Amino acid sequence: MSGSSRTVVIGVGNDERGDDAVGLAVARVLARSPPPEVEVAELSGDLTGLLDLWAERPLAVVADAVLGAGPPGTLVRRDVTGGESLPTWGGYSTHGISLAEAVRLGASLDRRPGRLILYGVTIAAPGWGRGLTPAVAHAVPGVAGLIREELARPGADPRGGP
Amino acid sequence: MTERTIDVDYVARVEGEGACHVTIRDGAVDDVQLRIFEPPRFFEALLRGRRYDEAPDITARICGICPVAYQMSACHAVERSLGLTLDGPLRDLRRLLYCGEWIESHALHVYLLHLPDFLGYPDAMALAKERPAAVRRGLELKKAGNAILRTLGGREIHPINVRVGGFYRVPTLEEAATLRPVVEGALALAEETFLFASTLDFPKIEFDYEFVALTHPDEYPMNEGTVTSSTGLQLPAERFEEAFEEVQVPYSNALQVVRKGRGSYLTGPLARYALNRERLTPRARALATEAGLPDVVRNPYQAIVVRSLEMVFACEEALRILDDYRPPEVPYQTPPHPPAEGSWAAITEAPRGMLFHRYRLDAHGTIQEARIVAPTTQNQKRIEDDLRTVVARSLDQDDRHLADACEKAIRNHDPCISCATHFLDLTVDRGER
Repeated sequence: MSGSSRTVVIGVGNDERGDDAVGLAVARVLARSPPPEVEVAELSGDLTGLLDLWAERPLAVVADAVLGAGPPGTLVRRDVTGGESLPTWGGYSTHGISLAEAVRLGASLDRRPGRLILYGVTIAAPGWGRGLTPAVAHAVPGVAGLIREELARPGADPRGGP
Repeated sequence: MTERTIDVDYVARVEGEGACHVTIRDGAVDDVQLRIFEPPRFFEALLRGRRYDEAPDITARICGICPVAYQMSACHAVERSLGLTLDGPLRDLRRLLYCGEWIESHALHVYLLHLPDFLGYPDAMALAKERPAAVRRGLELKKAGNAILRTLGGREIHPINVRVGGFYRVPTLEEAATLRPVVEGALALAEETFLFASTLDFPKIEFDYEFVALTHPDEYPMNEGTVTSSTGLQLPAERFEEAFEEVQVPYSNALQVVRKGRGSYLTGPLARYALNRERLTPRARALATEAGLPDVVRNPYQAIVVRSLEMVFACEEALRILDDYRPPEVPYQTPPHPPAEGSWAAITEAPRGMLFHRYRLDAHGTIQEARIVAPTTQNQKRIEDDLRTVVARSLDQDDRHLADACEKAIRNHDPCISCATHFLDLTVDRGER
């Protein structure tokens, strides 16, 4: 998958942890009718896998759950192409790295896309078991729509301008 | 009386939430406490009432980096109740799965956690910026471990393909062949890692550890073996509790394990290597000799070298298994009889050391009681003993440097605090007399 010239949308999360799965839910909505030349991927395991998924892509959009950005369902969009610092929940550990650390690591190792956009959906806390809470589930179609718009913009391809 | 306290409020680059508190009185170390404040996780309690064959998948959730260790210890323990011993390709596949876990866990620890300590970087992100080749090597190694886990376990974190008696599905010959070049590449990277780690500068310090690990007459231990101590103790895994006991300390949410009548001991890579060096592959042994690695390593900072050597071994062992692999006719063995009532225990070697599981089953195979002793609970007391000496040697340093030295001494042993706090031992003091 690494080195593909296609844009990628990556949903990140864990289906067994309630609202933490919101990134996966967004990816699944997009996967039902993917925009042309766009690959939709899911990542539920080791987040170092992000580096392989997004390296050398013209554009990568990551959808994930975030904490502390407002009431549940609140949307956050960040352009983190340059490896910008993101707030992270806890430090990295022997058990893996966070999305924020994957962004920094990708920038340091030059394993990053031409443009990297993060769409975060605010959750109250990761829950237990399957299923999204109503406020978070309600946000999913809207986020998927905004990502579609992002992908359709001329600037979506860095070769085509800003 | 002069008193000086050193607090590391949050030990970075370890899994879970822990802190360290040191008290120095009149120029001498008075007290050292490794405080684990991550909340208890109640796994032993929630296993009660569950079926024997649910234990592997439930306990795998204790840890995201060593779920295989939990699955293996649980499987071996309950398989004893079923009169089941795996052999042939199924036994080999379990060993291959364990190789994958050792590779991914050790790679992450060596490169993202431990290496910055020796090269003077605050973390792996800073290390990646200045020495990207090193971190790339670590990530490639981890990826190879992940690939083994995905092929055998269905996914890289919390594998879902392990069951009592074997696997739900075994790899095809083609899948095994696809894995081979990945592991071959990892072997070259592991050797580079070992040779590089051997050249690092290590603080000059050695401890008279009591090493405890499994030993096996024919192989470097993973799934089976006899509990062996460097002081001469040898006993079957199911009798672990005769010689070792868990004790509670008021400042930590994790129990500490001590050798009865003796005190702290060390499990993990240094212990495995000290007690099993001769059962490494010839190539791994030759590398160790070439690099001047002593037969017994008593300097905890050199654990990074031993972990790297174990990655070399795990890659070679994985290649051997892949080369010999012929898919078994059935993916799992059927037990000769239903689970027998009684108490059944096993130990396997997690990346961080011995992992003990014991289950008391009733006549229907329902778990009545579970006990899980993770490597970090075993090493906790030993880490405090290390800290006492490290602090005593560094009393002239300012608090910031002393705290830094404490964190490094803790990281030498790769503690997994989430693993250590699975227990429930709740005492309610209502102030009534």
